[in-house]
Amino acid sequence: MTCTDFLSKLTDYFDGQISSELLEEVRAHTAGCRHCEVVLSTTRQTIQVYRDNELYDLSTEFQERLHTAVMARCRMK
Amino acid sequence: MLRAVGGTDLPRPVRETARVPDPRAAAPPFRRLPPDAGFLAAADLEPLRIFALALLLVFVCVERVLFAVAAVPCFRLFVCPNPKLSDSKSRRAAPVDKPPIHRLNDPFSSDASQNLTCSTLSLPWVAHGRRTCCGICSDIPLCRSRVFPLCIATSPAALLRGAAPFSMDFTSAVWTHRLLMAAIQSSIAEEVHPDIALVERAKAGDTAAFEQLMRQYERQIFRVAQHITQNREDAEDITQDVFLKAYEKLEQFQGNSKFSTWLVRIAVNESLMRLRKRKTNRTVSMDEDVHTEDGSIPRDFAEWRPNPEQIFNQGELGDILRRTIQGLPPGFRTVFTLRDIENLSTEETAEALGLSVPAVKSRLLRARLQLRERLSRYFRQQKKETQPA
Repeated sequence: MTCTDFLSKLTDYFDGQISSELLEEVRAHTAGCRHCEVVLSTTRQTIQVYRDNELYDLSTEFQERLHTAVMARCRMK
Repeated sequence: MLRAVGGTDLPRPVRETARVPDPRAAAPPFRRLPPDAGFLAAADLEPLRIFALALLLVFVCVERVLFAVAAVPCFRLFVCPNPKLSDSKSRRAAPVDKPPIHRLNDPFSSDASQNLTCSTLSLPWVAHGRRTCCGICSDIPLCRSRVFPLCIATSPAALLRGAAPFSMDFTSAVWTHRLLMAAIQSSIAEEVHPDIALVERAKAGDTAAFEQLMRQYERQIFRVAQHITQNREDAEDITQDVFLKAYEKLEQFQGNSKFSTWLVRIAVNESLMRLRKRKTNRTVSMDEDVHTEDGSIPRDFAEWRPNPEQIFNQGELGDILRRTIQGLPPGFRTVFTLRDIENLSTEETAEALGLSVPAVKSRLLRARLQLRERLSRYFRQQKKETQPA
């Protein structure tokens, strides 16, 4: 497996949609390729850090406004 | 008792004996009315036959009343929401893109809250084999179990046309129904998403159910809108528009996808429309800038140690993450948001964005690699700064 092949399988690898044979090939490649090993670990960290940190949240005032407006329209219907 | 409907013990006119008997008329347990047994031809009949027909009429009327009393609760529970049925309130245009999922109740259960999805009943009820006994349901393959109560409620007009008033034994139908319901109950319970019940209640006018759905998904919808538009005011407007639109179009939600995915799709469309209206952003389409390879080829091979959370406080880290994702083209940003932040599956993301699964995978890979590369600059730089001199 080349580095380009490794990159093309990266999405399937993270999504767990990779066959056991390919998984072995990916592991064998990253074991012998320092760059790809770093790409794998830092990409995993990228996904994790965005999942763990909620960047945008609703304000309480907006929530109240939202419910008032939507419910008023719903009751009119 | 219904055998008398066929009038086999009555004298037949000579012209009748020459006819080839209708095979359906001999089919047990009921016989169809002979073609000349209609009431319009009654004036030509002999007095005995008129008397027999009058008796039959009285008998059928009494029988109809008795069984109508028993059938009314079943019939009401089984009224099909399919617009093809004769309920005038339900005469909306039937959605043609995907088959509807009908909900129904077990009319013989003491628990009226036992809701089932017809599509999951298709196998056992097909094996039940009662599809042909009712002309109303014959074109609704997912609702064959409705055949039973609808058959009981065969209309007087259909009776006059010669339809058998009952097509099955009532008792055996009840028990067969109960056994089948018990056999499939456990598997069905796992398949029905809890949102479906809330949506059904909201469709019936229960605004509290819709408010509950809103509470469940308002944060997700707001985040999606904010990630795409990168503007808080726009995201708030879009969130409100999404729920207003969802309530107006609730009847169009057929339950073929998750309710949240349906909402996300509305949010994505509203957000992209808002970007187009704003026109201050160069990239306003899901397809713009997605062909660039800039940043998708790994160039930084430094590890992130310690973890970003250990280097930065939450506020600093949030700023870095916001700045970094803002730099992605909307086409990449949206795919990454739905797939990796909102945790939609690849298929759900593709459905919400109107893209193919390979297109989603391709954009997701490049979005992840670009974000990794951009974040690496921050975290690598910080690593250098924190290294001891």
